[in-house]
Amino acid sequence: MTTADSPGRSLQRAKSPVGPGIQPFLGVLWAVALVALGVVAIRDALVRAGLLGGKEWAEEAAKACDNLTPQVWIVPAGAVAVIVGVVLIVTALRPRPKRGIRLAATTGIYLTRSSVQRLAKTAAAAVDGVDTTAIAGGRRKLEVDATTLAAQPEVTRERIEHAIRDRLSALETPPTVKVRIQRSEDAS
Amino acid sequence: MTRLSRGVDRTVTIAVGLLLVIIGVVAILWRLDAVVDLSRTTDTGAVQNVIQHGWWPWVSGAAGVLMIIAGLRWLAAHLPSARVTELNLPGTGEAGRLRFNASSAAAAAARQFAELPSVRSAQGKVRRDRGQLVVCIDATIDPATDLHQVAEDADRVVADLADVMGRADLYGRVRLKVSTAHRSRLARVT
Repeated sequence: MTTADSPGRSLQRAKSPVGPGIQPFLGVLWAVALVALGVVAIRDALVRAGLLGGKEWAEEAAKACDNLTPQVWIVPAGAVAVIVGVVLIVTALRPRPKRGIRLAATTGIYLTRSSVQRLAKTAAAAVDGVDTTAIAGGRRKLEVDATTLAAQPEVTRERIEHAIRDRLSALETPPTVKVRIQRSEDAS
Repeated sequence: MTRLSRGVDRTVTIAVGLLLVIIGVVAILWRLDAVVDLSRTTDTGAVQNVIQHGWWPWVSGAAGVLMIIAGLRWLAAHLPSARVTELNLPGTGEAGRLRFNASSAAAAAARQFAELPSVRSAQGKVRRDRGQLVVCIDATIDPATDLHQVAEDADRVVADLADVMGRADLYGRVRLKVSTAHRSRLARVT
């Protein structure tokens, strides 16, 4: 923790970046539903006052729900309601998704996941004999699929692994790197 | 979005989820005839009686207005508005009106960062994030950059900014993106 008095201080490290997750979207959905419900309530009041034609929807709904007996479809419908409900509760309790992979530095410096992939890709592509590369993963594990024109793919594989590790060594916890290599088909 | 509106979103989602679980379970028990107290047919007579009352349209209309106001307010809370432009200078005191433009200080730091050869562009702003006042610098760097060097440079820029701002309650965060456009070192084949 730094204080205002100590010279050569830096800003305190902010909380790690997180994405919005699905919560705000659901919040907007509930808010729109609430507005819609409000509109229906006002409409019903206006219908009763004779300012609008038609029937009151609240009353119609109550009538429609009267004298119902438990049909067979109520079981799958109930099961769906339970599943959707559980999914909603789980989503609400889940923490927001992490964004950004931290660099080893005094202040909070982060790289995006796609950036880490891009760095790995450039590092791999710069290795002699590498033809094509495809990268997946990022935070904990990087998987590299590479093709090579070299006669000894195993050597190239090690070189790629080394190049990527070296490239990402500035990350606080660098991902483990796994390289799969194949000889290019047109290599002769 | 504020912490409060996030909390409201979360709470309502949990409430809706619980409601759906309860409705689903009761519906299944009803069909299976597993609960003695449930009658075999529904009866909404009580609800219909309430709707028939003379005061119902007033209650319905008033509730409707409240629901629309609350709903719109809730929607407005989802607009992005976390930016902070001005802050009090350190030592101004509670009644102090000495302000400085925090966002332009952040922007100046970003410009300083963008002058480095490995940094292509950078933007700086101050925002409220989960209860912290955060100076955010978003920068795009070259794919061939030495990350150690960039980290060191970013540390220095943030430390300079801390000196300028002088407030102890500020937090910093630098987000780096690696540019897609690769300045190729390969010879062009035509």
